[in-house]
Amino acid sequence: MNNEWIRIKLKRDNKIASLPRLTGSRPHLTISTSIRIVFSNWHYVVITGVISAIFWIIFSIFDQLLFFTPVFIFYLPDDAVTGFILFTITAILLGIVVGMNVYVLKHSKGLKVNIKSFFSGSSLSVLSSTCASCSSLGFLLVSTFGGSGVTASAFLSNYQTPLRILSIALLVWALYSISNKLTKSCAIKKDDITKKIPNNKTSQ
Amino acid sequence: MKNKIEFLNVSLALTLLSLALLHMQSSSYPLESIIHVAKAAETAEERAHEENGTGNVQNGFSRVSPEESKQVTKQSEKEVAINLTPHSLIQSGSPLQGNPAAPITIVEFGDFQCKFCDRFAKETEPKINATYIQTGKANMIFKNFVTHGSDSITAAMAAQCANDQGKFWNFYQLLYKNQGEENSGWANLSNTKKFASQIPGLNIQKFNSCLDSSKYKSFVDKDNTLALSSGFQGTPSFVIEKKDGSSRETLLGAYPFPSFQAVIDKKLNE
Repeated sequence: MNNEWIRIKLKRDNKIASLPRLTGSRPHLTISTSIRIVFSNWHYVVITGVISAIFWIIFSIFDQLLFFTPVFIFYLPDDAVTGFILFTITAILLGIVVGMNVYVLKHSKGLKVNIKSFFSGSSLSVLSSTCASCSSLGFLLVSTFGGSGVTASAFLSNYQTPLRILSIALLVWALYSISNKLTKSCAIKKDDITKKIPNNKTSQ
Repeated sequence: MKNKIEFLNVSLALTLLSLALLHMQSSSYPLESIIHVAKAAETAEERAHEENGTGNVQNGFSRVSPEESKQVTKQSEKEVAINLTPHSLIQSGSPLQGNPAAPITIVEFGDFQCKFCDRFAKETEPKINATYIQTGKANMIFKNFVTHGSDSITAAMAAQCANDQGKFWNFYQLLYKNQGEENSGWANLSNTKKFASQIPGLNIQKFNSCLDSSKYKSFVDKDNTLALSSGFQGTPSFVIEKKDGSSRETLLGAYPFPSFQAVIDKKLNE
C-alpha cells in the first residue's frame, strides 16, 4: 500500500514520467520491472543487442559453427543443436546483464555493480563454450600441466552441457541481483520522499 | 573477503580473455607458418629421447618442450615441405583413401576422441568422399594428432593396425560411430578389439597381436611430432595441397563442406 501511495505521489508531483510498481520479493516481477525501467531507453537496447551479438559470434566461432574464410558460412549440424540453443540463451543473458549494469553505473551513483555473479557466469560460459580438448585451450592445458591438463580438458569437454546450464543459472542470478538493486534503489528514494511527507499523510 | 572474490573474478575474466585471443590467433595463423621442419622435429625428438633415456614419455606420447619446438620451427622449410608431400606421407605408411595419383590431397590431422573430428567424419567427410574422392579428383590421408589422453593413443595405434590390413577407413568410421566420453575407456584395448571384430574381412588375430605389441606406438609418436612441428594446436587440422606438395593451404577446425569445396575447386582450376 505504501509503495502504491508513493507511486501516486511521485506521479502527481511530476518527479518522474512513470515509475513501475515496486514488486516486493517476487523474482520474476523484480526482473521484469527492472527490464522495463532499463529498456525504456533505446540506448540500452542497442548496448544489449551489440553485446549479445558479440558473444553470440564468439560462441559460434568456439563451437565451430561460424566460419569467415575461405567462404563465410554458418552451419548447424545435428550434434551442435543443444549447444547452439544454450549459447544463444547465454549470449542474450550476457547482453541484458551488461546493459543493466551499464544503466546502474550511469544512473545510480550509490549502487555497486554485482560483478561476482556476472563474471562467474560469463567466465564459465566462455570456458565451457569450446571443446577444450580439441582447441588451443586444451593444447595449452596439456602442454603446460601434462596429465592434470588432460584431466582438466577432459572434464570441460565431458561436462560441457551441464557447465553451460550452470553458467546460465549464474547469469540469471546476476540478472536477479542487479534487478533487485534497481528496484531497491526506488525503495531508497521512497524513504527520501517519505521524509518530506507530513506526518498526518504518512499515517494513512 | 569480498575484495578477494572480486579480484579472483577479474583475474579469471582476464585469463579467459587471453585464452580467447589465443584461440583466435591459433585459428587464423598465416599459411606460411604451416611449412615447418618435420624431419628436423623428428631428429630433435630422437635427440631428446637419447638424452633423456626414458624419452620424456607422458600420457603415451612424447612431449616436445617449447624450446625444442622453437628450435624446430627455425629450421629449413624445404625439409618440412618434402615431409608433408602426399608421396612421402603415403610412403611412410599413412592411411590413404582414393586414387594415390589424384591431383589434390587432403591431409587430416585428427584424434579419435575429438568431438569436432567426429563432426567432420560424420558431416563433411562423406560429402568430400562422394564429390572428390570417388571421382578421382582428390585423395585423403590421415595423420594422428593425439592430445586427448590414453584412449586416443590406443585408438590411434589400433587404427594403424587396421590399416595394415587395408581396413583403416572402416575402422575410422566405426571409432567415430562409437565415440564415448573422453578417456572413459571407450577406446581401451579390449573395446578397440571388439570394434575391430565388427569389420568384415579383418583378421582379428593379426590385429590383436599388432595392438598388443604396440607396433605403431612410435609411428603415432612421429605423427604427433609432425603435427606439432607444423604448428597445429588443435584437432582437426587439415592441409590441402596439390599432388606435388605445392599450393598448400590449411584449414584449422571442423570446416563444413562448402569451405573444402571452395579450396579444392580453386586448386583444381589453377
